[in-house]
Order: sequence, then C-alpha cells, then structure tokens
Amino acid sequence: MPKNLVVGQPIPRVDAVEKVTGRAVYGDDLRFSNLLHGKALRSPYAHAKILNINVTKAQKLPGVKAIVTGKDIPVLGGEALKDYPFLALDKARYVGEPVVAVAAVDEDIALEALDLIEVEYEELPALIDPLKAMEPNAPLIHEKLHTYEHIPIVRPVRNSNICHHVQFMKGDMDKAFDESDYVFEDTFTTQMVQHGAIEPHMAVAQVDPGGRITVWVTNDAPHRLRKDLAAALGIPLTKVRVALPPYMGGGFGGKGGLKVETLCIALATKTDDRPVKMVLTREEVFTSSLVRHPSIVQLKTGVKKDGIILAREATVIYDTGAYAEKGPTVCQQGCVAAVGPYKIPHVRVDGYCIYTNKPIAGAYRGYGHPQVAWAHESQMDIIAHKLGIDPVTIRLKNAVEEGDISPTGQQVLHSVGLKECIKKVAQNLDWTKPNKRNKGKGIACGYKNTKTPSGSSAIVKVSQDGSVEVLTSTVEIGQGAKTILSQMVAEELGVPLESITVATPDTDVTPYDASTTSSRSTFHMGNAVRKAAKDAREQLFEIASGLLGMETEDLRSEKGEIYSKDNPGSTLSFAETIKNQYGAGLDIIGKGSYYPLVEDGIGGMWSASSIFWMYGADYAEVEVDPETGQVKILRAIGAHDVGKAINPITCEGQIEGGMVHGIGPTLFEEMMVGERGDVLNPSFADYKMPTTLDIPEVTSLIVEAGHREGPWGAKGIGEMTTVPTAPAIANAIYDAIGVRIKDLPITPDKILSALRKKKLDG
Amino acid sequence: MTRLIQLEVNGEIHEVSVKANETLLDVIRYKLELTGTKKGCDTGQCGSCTILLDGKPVNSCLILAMEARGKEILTVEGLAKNGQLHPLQEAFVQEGAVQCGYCTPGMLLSAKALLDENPSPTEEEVKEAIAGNLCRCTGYVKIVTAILAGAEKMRG
Amino acid sequence: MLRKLREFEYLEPSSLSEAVSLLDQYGQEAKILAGGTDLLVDMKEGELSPRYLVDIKGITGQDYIKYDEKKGLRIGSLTTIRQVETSRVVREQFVPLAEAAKVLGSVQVRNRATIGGNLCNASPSAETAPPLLVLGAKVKLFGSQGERVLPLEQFFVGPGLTVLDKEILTEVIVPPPSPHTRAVYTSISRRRAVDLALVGVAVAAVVDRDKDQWKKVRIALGAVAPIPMRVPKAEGILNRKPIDAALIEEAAQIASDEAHPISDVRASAWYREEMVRVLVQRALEHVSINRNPKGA
Repeated sequence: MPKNLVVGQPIPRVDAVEKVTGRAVYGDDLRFSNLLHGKALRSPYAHAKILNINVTKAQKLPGVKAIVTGKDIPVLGGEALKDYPFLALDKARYVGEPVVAVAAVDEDIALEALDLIEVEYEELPALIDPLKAMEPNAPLIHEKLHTYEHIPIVRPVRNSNICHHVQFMKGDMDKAFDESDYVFEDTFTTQMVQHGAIEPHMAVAQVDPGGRITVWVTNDAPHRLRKDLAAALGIPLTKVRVALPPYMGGGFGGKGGLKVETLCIALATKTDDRPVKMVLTREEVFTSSLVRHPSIVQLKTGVKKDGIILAREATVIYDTGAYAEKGPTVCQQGCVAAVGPYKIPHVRVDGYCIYTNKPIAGAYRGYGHPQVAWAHESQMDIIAHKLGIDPVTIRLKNAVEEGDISPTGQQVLHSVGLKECIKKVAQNLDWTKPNKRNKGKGIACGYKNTKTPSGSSAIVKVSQDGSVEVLTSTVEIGQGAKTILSQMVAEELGVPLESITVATPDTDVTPYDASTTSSRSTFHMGNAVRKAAKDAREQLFEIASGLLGMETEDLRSEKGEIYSKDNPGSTLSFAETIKNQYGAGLDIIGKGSYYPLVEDGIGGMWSASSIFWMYGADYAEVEVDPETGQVKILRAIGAHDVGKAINPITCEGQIEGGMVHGIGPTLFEEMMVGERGDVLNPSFADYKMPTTLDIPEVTSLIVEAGHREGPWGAKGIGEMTTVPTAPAIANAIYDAIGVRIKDLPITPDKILSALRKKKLDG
Repeated sequence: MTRLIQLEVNGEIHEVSVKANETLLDVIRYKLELTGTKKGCDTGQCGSCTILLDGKPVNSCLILAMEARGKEILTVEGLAKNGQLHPLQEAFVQEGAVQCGYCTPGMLLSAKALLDENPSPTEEEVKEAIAGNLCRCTGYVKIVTAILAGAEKMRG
Repeated sequence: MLRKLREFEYLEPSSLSEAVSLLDQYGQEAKILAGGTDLLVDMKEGELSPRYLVDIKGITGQDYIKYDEKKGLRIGSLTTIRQVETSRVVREQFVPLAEAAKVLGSVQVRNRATIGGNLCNASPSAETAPPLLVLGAKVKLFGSQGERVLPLEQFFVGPGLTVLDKEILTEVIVPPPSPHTRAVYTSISRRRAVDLALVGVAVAAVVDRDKDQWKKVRIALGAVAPIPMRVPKAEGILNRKPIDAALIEEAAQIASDEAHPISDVRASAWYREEMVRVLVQRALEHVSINRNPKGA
C-alpha cells in the first residue's frame, strides 16, 4: 500500500495566506451597485397579537424605498416543520421577532424610518418555562400546530406546545430495574447559550424583473436554503439562486436555516431590481438569530454492584423557543444518544421539543448531544463514587465496541474508537494519588452521530494546462474544508496541491450538497470529491494509455504526471494528455456523488441509524478557590476518534477549539431571560465568552478507528470535540471539593452555596 | 453635515468626506474600501476591529473618523511589504493559527504592537496582549504559539 | 436597542476656557468626548443621545504623570489608563492604582480610556476610584467660575452622577505616600480578563512595625453601592489596634455589612456581599504580612 503523499499530512491551510493579509472576502465585504439598506422593527413583547401597523409617516420619509410586513409575504418556512413566517403574521412569539422591515438608501434613513412606524400590540401571557408550557391547559403558542407541514419523522402533539415527541424503547424496563442492585435518579439542566461566531449574520437579496431571487448570504447550506426558500415561496428551485461569499466568519450551527435573507427577499420584491442588504447588529444576533436549546434531562439508571449498567431511562426536554427551526431533529438526534455510548440492554428514551416565547433554539455545535452528555457523564461519576469504582474503569466496563448494537437498538456499530479515547486521556490519571487541596481531576466521554442519510455531489474539472478545479457546495466556515478537500483531490488525482482551486459555493454552479453541518463534510463530500477525482483520472488514463501504449490498469499519476508502473521513466503530463486528444481545447470533467444507504425501521432523513459515529473523551484538571467559588481549569486533554486524520493540524485545531468552546458554557456563559421574555444580556459585555486568559494548558490527541466507508477511513470531528467538556469539568470539581453541580453554568455563586450547604449538613 | 478630512492609512494619505457620527471602522471599511478590518460587535468587546493608531492597538469602532486626523493608522493590509509577509503573518500560516480568519486581522495587529514594544514576551504577556481579541474557533492555543514563533523569527 | 450612532455636532475646543463655554452654552445637550470607550457605547446602545460632542483631546498639556516627593502625584485627566498602568512611578509608589488600571477593559480600551473619563463617568464600579480613595486623592475641576479642588470622596453623587456643574475635571492629585504605607487593589469578575469587576477592593495601610499594629487603615469598595465608597466602620475597628487575624476577619465582615450591593445580570447581591468580606480580608492580610521581615 503506497504511502499517502498528501492525505494525512499536516499541511498549512490553503486559505491561510488570504486570511492573514486581510484579502479574504466575507459577506459584509461584498460590494453591490445600487444597493439599499434594510433594517427590521422587532417585537418588544414575548407574546402579543399584532393589532395594527401604521407605516404612513415612514413611507413619506425621503430615501425610503420599501416597507414590508407579514401581510406582504404571508408564507411559512422551515426544514423540519413549516411554522416560521418571514415576518410576524397575526402575532409575535418572541422578543426580537421581526414585524416590519424597511429598505432605504442608507442605514441612517432606514433607522429613522423605524422610529416613525407605529405598531399596536395586545400582550398575551408569555410562556418562559418549558415545564409550564407542557402543562395541559397552557396557552398555545402555535394554535395551528396541527396544520403545519412537516417531514415524516416529526411528531407534533395536537393542541399543545409540544412540536415533537420521540420515543425509543428496548427491552423490559421494570424487570431490569428490579434486577438492579442500585437505582440512581438525577435531573440535570443546561442553559441558553449563544454560538458566538465573531462575524454577525448578513444577507443581500435581489429579485429580478422575472421574479428570480438571488441571495448572497452567510449560510452553512446553500442548497438547503434554496430548497427551503423555494418551498416556502411556492416557486421552482430554478427561481432561486444562493451564492455564498468566499468565506464565513464561523457558524457553529447558528448560520443555518431561514435568517436574515427572508427579510431581504421580502423587501427586494418591492425595490424594482435593487439589491437589499441587511447585517444583524450583535444585539440582534443574540436575540433574533439562534441559540442552543436549554434542556432538562432526567436519568434513571439501574446498575449492578460491579458497575454494569442494566437499564437506563431518559426523559429529555429541549426548549426550542418560539419556532421549531431545527428543534425536532435536535431532539431526535440528541435522544438517540441520550443514554450514552454504553452497552445497555434495557433502554427507554422520551424526548420532547417544546415551544416557549423565547429566542429560537436551533442547530448548535453538538446538536443536542452536549445536553445529554452533561447528564449521562455527570451521573456516571455519581454512580462510580457510590459504588466505589474508579470513573475510568466503570466507563471501560460499559463502553460500546466494534460490532455492538447501538444503545437504542437501531444499528450495529462500526468504527468505534471510544475505549481508546478513554484510555488515552486516562493515561494522565492516577486516581490513587491524593489531590492537593482544592484541586481535582475528571474525565467524561461521549459520542455524536451525523444526519443520515444525506447526499453530496462534486465535480472535479481538469483544464487544458493541467490545473484542477473542484466544484463543491461545502462551505468554508473556518473548519478547513477547502484544505482537506484539496488534499483528497490531490491524493486521488495525483496532482500537486498548488494546482487545485476550490470554487466558492453557488447553487447555479456547484452541485447539490445537503449542508455543511452535522460534521458530515469530510465523510460525505470527501467521498464525493474522491469519486469525482477518480472519474477524472480514469478518463485521463483512458487517453494516456493509447498515447503511452500501456494498459490503463498499470497507469499511475503523481504530481500531475502519468506513467506506467512498468515504465516509470516515460511520463505524460495531464496537460499533454488533454492537448493530444483535444487540441482545440476541452476540459476533463469528473463527477462523483455519495449518498449512504442505511436500513432501519424508521427510515427517511434523521433516522436513528447514523452512517458513522464520532467518539471522544475529555480530561480536565481544576483548582477551586473555596472562598470565592471560582474555578480555574489548569489542564485539559481531548482525545477524539476521527476515523482518519486527513490533516492532523486542522484536527488539533478542532479539538482545541471545541474544548474551549465547551469551557465557556460550563463556567461563564448564560443568556439570561427576564420574566417578560427579554434577553437581559444581549452583548459581549455581559455574555462572557472565554478569552485567551481563560484557557488552560490544552493537549489534543487523535485516535483513528478507520471507517470502511469513509475516505481513507475518515469520519468527522467538528462537533464531537465540545460534547464531553462540561461533564469532565464538573467531575473534576467534584473530585476537588466534593460538590456536585447539576445545572449549567457552574458559577462561583452555585459553588459557594453548595459548599455552605455541605458544611451545614455536616 | 459632512467634512472633507485627511486620514493617513498604511502610509498613504486619503482624502475622504465624513459625517461626525461615522466611526473610523466604518470609514475604513466602507469609504476607504479596506475590508480587512472587521466589525464583530461595534461596541469594543470583540477586538475584531483592532487597528494600530500611532502604534497602539485600539478598537476602531469606538473612535470617530474625526478623531483619527493627523494620526498614523495601520490596518492588516499594511503588514505585508512588497509582497513579503510579516513574520507574524507567516507564523500564523505555518502554525495553523487561522480557522475562520475573522479575528485574525485584529490578532495580528495586537501581536505586532506587543512585539514592537517587547520583542521577547512570555506566554503570559502574549495572552494579556490579545485578551481583548475574541476567537471562537481556535481556542487560542495555536494563536499564542504563532505569536511566540513570530517573535522568535523577528529576533532573527 | 443597539444601532449606529445618531447624528450630532462635533466640536473641538482648543482650550479649557473654550471647552467650558461650550458646556455653558449647550448644557445638557452636550457631552464631553475624551477616550470615548464608555460614551460611544452608551450612545450606540441608545442610553444617551447628545446633540453636541465636545472633543477635549485637542486641548494640549492635559496628559501627564508628574511626581514630586513633596507635592505627590499629579495626573492630567486626559492621561490614558494604559499610561497610568505602565507608569513606573505609579507601579512603584501607588501600587493599587496601577493594579486597578491593569484590569480595566482590554489593552485596546486602555489605550483610549482616560483617568478623567473613568472618574467622570462615575460608574459604581469605576476601577480607578477605590484605589484613589484609599490613597487620599483629590480632583481639580475647571469651570467658567474658576477652579476648585475637592477630595474624591465628595466627587461622586450617585450612579453616573458627579458634582460637576458644567465643569471639566483637569487633574487628579494624590499626596505622597506616608512612610511604611502598603497598599493593594484586588477585584473579582466573572472571567479572568476584560470584564467589569463584580466587587473591587482597595486597601492602604500604614503599619507601625515596632508595635506591630495598624496606624492608619483605609478601605474602599467599588461596585457594591451607588458610588465607590470608603468603609469607615471597618477602618475604625482597626486603627491603632494590634494586627490580629480575628480582628481582620471582623473588619472584613463589617465592610461586607456596610456595602449594599444589588443583584444584576452579573452577580447576586449575596455573592457580592460574600466577596466583599473575602476580598477585604485578603487585602488586609496582604498589606499586613510584610510588616516585619522577621515575623510570620
């Protein structure tokens, strides 16, 4: 087996130079002629009927070119459940919901126009607590829930605020709990957090006289957006073009679905072909884009005294805010993983996705998994301590392995590097060694699936001079997709990396890709580009075999040169090959698609089977100041099974970044919502994300449990790295001071109160 | 009311017409069309708008264009000279310190200001210098490594 | 609601008298622009919308740090926080002021924020206030009626409110430290840097080495009351008493009782009260331990 020349190498990213020189173009850097600026007037109420909107004064303001309300564009959109209006229709369901949008010749005038608009509301009772929203006679946030279109997997509960209920059952729960030596019951909660991508959301929309819509937008899934827009507006796909800026400043799930472009499109239908641009302020990003689902997870676990888990029952509540967005599928995916990556014979999971009058919760790095991992990994240590078993041992005893049936029973697991991850982080642990005062260590593990099935297509074009273009709709959001896809093409096609350019996604040009989410691109698009590169290479070999007088099976290509293994001295470059065949000019076009076939009982997208699972474990070492309750993280280690590291540096970057991204919500981050449903801290001044001074010493370790269907065995990494961080820290805090916090974030306040209580209890 | 003012950016004098309420950030990005400097929060919290004003790192979103007259402004576009990357830029590329790249211009300028004043910083000093630059992608680890590597390159 | 700055008129006086006459002329409709790191944020968030901004940075000779053993420390009000943080004389002789300057915002903010602005903005958590209070600072104010000098204690009136009456703060004056003074500033915030203090504590103490007792103690708190405040009751039980752990604990508890913090998005009142006690205790311990090189 020849050694890989490019795949697996820690090469510098192909977009790094553009970014360090400031030449990289992001959404707000794009320039348009005849541009109008859009602003939105948003609801100050969490739940209110919209009685009247008076725009007369605003319309008269010179420079105002269009004003729209829900009545102008009364459509509903949404990938899982179509409940989302472009602008509020009969009522507003959260503070910050757009009610009126204005397009003007400049931002100052657009803002002045907003001041002149009068909206009359009738306040309705606002539901802030998801448990109250679940009560039988709770006021309905979506009265017409039963009329909304949705994908087959979603099961809304009629006449309720439950937009999805999922259930998994395996085995005999009552019998299993009876046979258990111990039964543990604990409830854990997580708070509302922000994605925190430093680039705010933006969009520019233009509607041409024929009604064709073009949007330039910060979105992580151009074809999905195109589909969602066409479906909402009831127009053919060819009437919508989604063009992305070359680069995006982070997403983490927050830049998916219908966001700013809906407002721009609504306005652009009235501005006579003039493009309309809107950029969200940081405050609007907080209140009116997306957040991570706050959650309540109840775990009931039955174990034998040797630590083997017999049964686990999980009730998971995801608070999805005012609109479903990705809520039902977050709930679905999170619940599949709710009991943890363990061999548990008896399992029951009940998952609920609940509407409340709060900011919309949607896809967020981990997609429902951090919440359930918070629960199952915290409880694992509770069990370990009670039974007197070491936390590493108890996890290894129960951890799934290659060939095991998944905990919810849908599939046989393949490529399972979990135990190796746990062992790798545990190498740093000597549990028997007593801690120094107020210092502690903890571990946690987890797993994360990928949405299955989902499809990706790619084109690899070889031009006459031998240079290569890759057409892919995978988005470079910062994760390094452009780089690793280039590496894969370079390897498969046998060309130097420098000869490859990756096109910017544009639904008019780059073929279908489900999305750049769910940690799916390395695997799905990787397979697609690999196939496309192979197709192009085979076409070239077909031509070259005639020219070289050699059999195609014996041909090889390396660094853009084709040769036969039997006569390596005689080479033909790609350019020569093409020129010989097509002297007057032609490209070689290779195509490839990948769509996994997975069988399971549920079927359709978001089925409980996942084409691959990522596994990982974190270790944290902390020091707690018992007088102030402050926690300092001294050291953090993450070990993650990526299948195969296509680029070890970018993998490390994801592990480091994911862990620090997990530290914030564990210790400092919380979006606080007042009684009236308003976000109390919608700014970086009061929503504290980690700075460089908050990071511990970080080590990243890569495990490779190759996947038979992954390109070179690769799976994914992006989301997995943030899943086990919070419980690892909580477990370390317990080790340090004997205090167990079950509600995120772990603030000094909570630690101090818990220490006081512990002292009083004696 | 607009006024015609002169701003010196990356060694070049620009004449530009500005209103009193226009920030230096907005003028750099939308009037001078130098889009390397980024807008992340517009309230001085994220640092992605960091530029050097007379050699000192500042948040350009909290400076009026009018206040920047007569000062030397350095943006990320002014770091490379004659097609040659600044050692810090090279280090960021080599060490894998760039992911989405949105915080990168600000980070580079904060780092440059540090190294111009203190050519041999400790790791702690590097961290303090960039504490006002938020990054959500990298976890800062490789950024700190890159700045230390850049410092070593600059010391020759 | 966060938005672009609204329109305003930008004025740039070149002298103090010119600046003050603009304040006389425009009264409440005018705001002074110094570093802008508080003002421009407040304006973007809609808290303030002055029609006139008076940029006083054109007035030369307002940023300086001068030290003289007899007159003490004089800091021009337009001196940046970064200059205060990095000044050798401040770091060596007026320790708590340098320590407080260091935790204000980020480097980027400190390069613009001024000491005058930090005091005139009069946030209950103004970082430089507790150190200046324990160091016995005075402020010089310039108005159309002339100049006056006030002890800093008399400067703050309420959250965001000072005694300034169409005046400009021109100088901060700190007397030379008495011999055997030890002083410290400590604070606690949600994360390690670039954050407002939840509680700020400054302590300056003169210790009698021979008698091993406190001669004079000053304690000031920030962010736990409408204005930065001294805590006379706590100071009172220490002055001229022997240095003793139990007494320090008692003083810390009294300081905590004297503070009346609120609960807000940053912290609960309870936590702030607890932190006053912990930080005052730690600060007192810190300034007492090096009193006697031969001691514990």
